[in-house]
Amino acid sequence: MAENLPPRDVNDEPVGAGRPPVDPNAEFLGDQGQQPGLTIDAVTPGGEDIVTGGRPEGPEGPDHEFTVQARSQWRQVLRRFRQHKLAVISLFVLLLVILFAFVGAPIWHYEPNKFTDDFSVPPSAKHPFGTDSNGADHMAQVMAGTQLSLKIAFFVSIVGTLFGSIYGAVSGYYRGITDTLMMRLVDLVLTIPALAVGALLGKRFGNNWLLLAMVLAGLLWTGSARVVRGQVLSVREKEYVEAARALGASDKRIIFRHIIPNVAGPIIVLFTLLVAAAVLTETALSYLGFGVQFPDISLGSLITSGETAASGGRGWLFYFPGLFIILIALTVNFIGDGLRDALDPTQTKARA
Amino acid sequence: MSTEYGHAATGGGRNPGGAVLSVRDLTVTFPSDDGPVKAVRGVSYDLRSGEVLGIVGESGSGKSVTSMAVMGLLPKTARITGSVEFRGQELLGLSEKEMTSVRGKKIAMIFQDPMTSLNPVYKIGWQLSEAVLAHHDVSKEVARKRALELLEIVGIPSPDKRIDQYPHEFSGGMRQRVVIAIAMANDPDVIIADEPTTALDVTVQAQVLEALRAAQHETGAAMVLITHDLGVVAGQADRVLVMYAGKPVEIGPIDGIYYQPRMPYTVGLLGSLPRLDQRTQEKLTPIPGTPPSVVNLPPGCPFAPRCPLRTEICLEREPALLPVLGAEHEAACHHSDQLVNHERAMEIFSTDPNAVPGAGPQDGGPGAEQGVGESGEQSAGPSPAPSAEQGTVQDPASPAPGPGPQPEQGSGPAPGTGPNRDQNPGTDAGRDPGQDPQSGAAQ
Amino acid sequence: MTPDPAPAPPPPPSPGAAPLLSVRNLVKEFPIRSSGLIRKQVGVVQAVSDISFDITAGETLGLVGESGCGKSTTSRAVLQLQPATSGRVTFNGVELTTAGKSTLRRLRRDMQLVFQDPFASLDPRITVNEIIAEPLRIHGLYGDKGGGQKKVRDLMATVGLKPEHGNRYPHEFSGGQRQRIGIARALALRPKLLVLDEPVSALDVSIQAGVINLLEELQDELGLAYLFVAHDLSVVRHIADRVAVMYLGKIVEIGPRDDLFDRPQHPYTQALISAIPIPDPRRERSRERILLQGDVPSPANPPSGCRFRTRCPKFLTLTADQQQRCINEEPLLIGRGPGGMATSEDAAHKAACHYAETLDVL
Repeated sequence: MAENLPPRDVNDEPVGAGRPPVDPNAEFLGDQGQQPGLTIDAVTPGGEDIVTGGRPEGPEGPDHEFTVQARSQWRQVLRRFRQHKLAVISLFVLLLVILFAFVGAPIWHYEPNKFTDDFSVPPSAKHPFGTDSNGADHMAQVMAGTQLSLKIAFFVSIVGTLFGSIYGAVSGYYRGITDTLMMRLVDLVLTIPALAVGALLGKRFGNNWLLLAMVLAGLLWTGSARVVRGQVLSVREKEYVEAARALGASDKRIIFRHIIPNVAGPIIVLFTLLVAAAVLTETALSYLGFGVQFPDISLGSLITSGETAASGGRGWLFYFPGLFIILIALTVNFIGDGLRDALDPTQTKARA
Repeated sequence: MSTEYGHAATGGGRNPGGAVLSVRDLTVTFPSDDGPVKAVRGVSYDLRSGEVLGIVGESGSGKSVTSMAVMGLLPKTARITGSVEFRGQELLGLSEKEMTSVRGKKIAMIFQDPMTSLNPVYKIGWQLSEAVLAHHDVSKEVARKRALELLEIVGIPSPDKRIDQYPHEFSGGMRQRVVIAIAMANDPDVIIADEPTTALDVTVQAQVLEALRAAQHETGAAMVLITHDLGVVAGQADRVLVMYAGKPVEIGPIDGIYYQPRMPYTVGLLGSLPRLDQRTQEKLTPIPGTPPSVVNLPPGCPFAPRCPLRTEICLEREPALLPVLGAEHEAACHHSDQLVNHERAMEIFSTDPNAVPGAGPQDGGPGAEQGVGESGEQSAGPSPAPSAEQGTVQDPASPAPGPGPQPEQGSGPAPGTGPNRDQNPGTDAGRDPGQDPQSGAAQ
Repeated sequence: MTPDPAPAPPPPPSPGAAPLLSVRNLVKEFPIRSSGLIRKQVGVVQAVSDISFDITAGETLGLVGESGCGKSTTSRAVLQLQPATSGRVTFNGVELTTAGKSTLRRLRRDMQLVFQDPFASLDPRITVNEIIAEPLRIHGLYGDKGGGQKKVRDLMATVGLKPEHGNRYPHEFSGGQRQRIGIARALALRPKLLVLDEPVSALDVSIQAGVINLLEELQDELGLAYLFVAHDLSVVRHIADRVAVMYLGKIVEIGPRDDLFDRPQHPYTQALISAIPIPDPRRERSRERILLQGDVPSPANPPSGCRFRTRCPKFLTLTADQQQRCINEEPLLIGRGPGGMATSEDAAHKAACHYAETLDVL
């Protein structure tokens, strides 16, 4: 085949010849190499629109027009993520929280449900988070509670996102009557008041965190399904999907090989948002007494028991678990923000 | 529909002092994550009253950015240097308010997408009348009458019905003609048309070009016509400016550029076009390689990596735009004299991947091993610096040091070895597969 | 669905004589639906109405026309990517419109599609190796790892890409290179017919020439037939053997390339050719341009009789009686002599105009 078309390695990348090493941290506002001269800022309200939007042929967005070879996609994502300071800090804090809960618990020399002789002591060197009225070390309790809350949260978000994404992808891919029926079911699930059902079922299964997590996942997957369906509706019209169809690819192959990877961005973001939502819902349920129940400890159940203590002057029993809930929910949300920005290719690279 | 504007082969001679728009050493730089993007690297031209100047170039050549800079339409992040004078008045550095009074009234701009200039919530007639009223102290009835007239001139069928419609009721070609009518209403001295017909079908393009010509005729304005279509320019322009990598590489009267090009890029561009009027089945002559990135351009002529005539000097010094055929026709090439009587692309570029380049001047020089033929393009490797390769996926955090030279240091090592610097395996052995067809895909 | 006969492909009847692809009376309608909850169908748009053409093995048929004329829809309907409303598409002797799913899947190997937009037609998340390997995997031809990789490398070399670049992602390639990737993918199954949907119109001129040359070389070496869909008549003139011109869902003229370009008979073809600017200033100055009035009518409500009559410059020169014929009677696509006289039904050069007349517009 094609003897006249030898693989030629002659001429070399004119684009690449002499490109400097890529330094992800470099700021490029410098004007080295520019002649001195009149330097002004172009002033244009609305000019931005013209430049960035709507004009594919237009003034060359730094990317394609100049054949600036885009760097590897994930590297760009990572770099953009790193520019999001809050997200980076959040990631760091969340990792600390996870370490604290999962590594801290085994090495900490108190156990959550083991009573000591110190009843209701305020935070001290011996008991950094103080103790409760039974003498249990509160830091050990918070560690255990964080563990369970995180486990539930990640279970819910993994299962919820996975199921929701596939559900949404199938619905969006097939459209038509399939889509209509599937999305009406989503609407139906959405009308179920999560808290009430959670309370109802949680009361029955509350002592089994896995069942509780499954109930929560069963209620919280709808968001992912809707968002992913919307994305799939647009991705399925892409030419590369048609190309796969023209090659004779099966629907399964198209969905899993082409469509889902291309909606990975939103899915990752949905995942982080679901983590926060799950922590908060679990907390709310536990607080209402329907969630995690003794002897299991979650941050929500700690807050419940700590509430009365707080009004009795032992605020640490309330504030420490509260702090952790806020930490988890906030950091995960910020990370989600950062990921969303980083994964959004329309983010302009030019920074003023 | 030939033109009544001068087409003498010399093309010039019309009072050079009468430049309405004078651009000098214009540069535009955008900051980007990859380094400063030098979109425009020193453009100078004079637009004489009444003439049509065609600016041609491929995407990324900076042709559109040049005009956006002239109009003050670039985002604030752009750094602009140089000078743009409209009838002696410096435009760069004007406040937005002052610029607004220039835009539209003295210089009208026509974009590829007409909806950039039309307001979707107002009727066509209202928008046209507004433009008329802004410049003439007349009653509304007179303005409307004039609006009708203008629609007639640009060839809108049944304008009396169309005038009370909204832009969305118009097709793309008709919208573009309305934009041209509005530009006429403003009675500008200069019309800048940026790819005005690119999104349109050919028969519609013919209508719009006709409307443009009518508008220019009516207002007597000079026009800058920016396009990638060498056919459109051939039929419309008096003079042509060819841009490559942010710089003009050739400027001159239209006939000179088309029949006696003195820059290999222009030659290659013309040679790579299939011709509607060509009966013989010659192979097309593609230009090997791809246009360079204007981020961190290496020193030397930016076209050198793709040029069959390149020699050492091309890789060291960027040629200046110098007169080649009279004062009017200038080209930026160290070897433009070699193109005399070798103006056909196939004489210097090879169409056959295995052939020795015909007019390769320096035997054994880089020109000889330059990738020629259609597959040359492939070697313009996708990823430029070795550092920007895939490894980044697995190893995203690594700063990825690469051996690529820092092009800003003009005094760096001689770039003649550019190709070999890449780590791609097989690069150095490039010649062998080129001459040995058997090493091709054997199936 | 019809049960598939044995996996053996049906033998082509008398090879050489029968066309590779035969399209007869192809119609493709799209429903127009009302907005609102029920989305009741309120009408149809005939994107393609009753077109017929043949492609023989190894030849290139150029299908040209302006946006909305139905040329892309035709290409999709030929490949059964969009089911035709009616009509027959016969490929290699097999009727595609009634073929079962697995027959169709098998036949897909022999007819492949190359897309216009090299930035949209390659999945951005998959390496080039995998993109080119995909057709082989789908059809179980990838083989073991070594064999499959070799096939992919060979394909890359065939289209002028460096096989070493196979583990890169599409966005790292330039437009021309990406189009080559798309061509390599289409060639992977060694098809007999390539449907090329505006394969070079998204590329810069200096790059487009290389891709055109590549397509020509591949055709010579592999004996491919092309259905080359394009709006750029210059490119079509260069690459096609025969050309069909479409207007509002109909083929208005079809003929051998030089015949059609040098002696166009249909007023629309003439206007189309005359509107193409030629990169030659002297010729441009001396050319007559036929300017069409107005815009293409809506395909939802095409004019009666001849669909082009609302914009036809010829129509304006006709007598009232003659005009009436254009309004009432749809002109057939047949061979035409002087004055539009019908000559032969199977002439090579056919035009659908009652008053067809040769005109040199170049």
